[in-house]
Amino acid sequence: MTDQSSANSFDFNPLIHAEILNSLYENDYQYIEEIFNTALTHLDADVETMRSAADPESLRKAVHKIKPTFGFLGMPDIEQQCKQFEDRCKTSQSIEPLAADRDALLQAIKEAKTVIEQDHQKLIIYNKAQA
Amino acid sequence: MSISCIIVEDLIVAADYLKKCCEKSGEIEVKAHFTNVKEAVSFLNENTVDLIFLDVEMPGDDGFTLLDQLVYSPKVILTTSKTEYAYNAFEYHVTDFLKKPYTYQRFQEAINKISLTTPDDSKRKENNDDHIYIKTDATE
Repeated sequence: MTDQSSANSFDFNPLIHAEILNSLYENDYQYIEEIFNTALTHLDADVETMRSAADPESLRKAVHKIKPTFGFLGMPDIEQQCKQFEDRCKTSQSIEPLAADRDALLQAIKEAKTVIEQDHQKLIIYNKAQA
Repeated sequence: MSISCIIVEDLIVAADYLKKCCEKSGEIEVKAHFTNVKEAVSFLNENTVDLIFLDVEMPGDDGFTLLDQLVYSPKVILTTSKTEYAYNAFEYHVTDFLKKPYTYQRFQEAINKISLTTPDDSKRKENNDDHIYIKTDATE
């Protein structure tokens, strides 16, 4: 991870907390690009695990796994939504009462993924220009 | 000083970040990465490492099951997003507990504890030490 001057800082989508990314990755935009790429590569599979979970415990485990991804992506709001839903899963006896909230969370994750995809593409262009 | 380690973590982005932290430290050599306890235990039965970075919830057995199966006592740093496992961390005498996502500074603090831990600490399991200290943020 290398330092870059604030004059060369990247403008992240407002839904991404840039200060979190900076605290984790110290303005290393090459590395942030890698992290975004890694997250995007595995996100669909983790989302599908959530979508196809047949019982509350399986769903809870799937959400538990995907939750920290958004921490590493600088999206604590989605991370918190995952945590709240994970807690709900613990107290539910069946999947049906969770379906609406699960679908809402999946929609939020889908929108977050779009934001990450867009900023990932912008980072690729930005990093090439800096090289 | 080079510390050998394995990473047991099913979230790839978390494992990649941890590998990067280890590389940056210049002190930690990552021997292998496993996404489940079964494969990690197989490796540990044939190989020794100084340190295990261990997630708790993974497909199949959880991280504490791995600790129950160890035949020797490497240092352990738990990496998880749930603080509820902190008590278990005390029970298993782990060296530190990293709550994901953690900064590089926090990682370095955990690594520094590895250096400071004396060999006798690994024998604490055998003593009847019933004291634990829990720090809270409670205010009046």
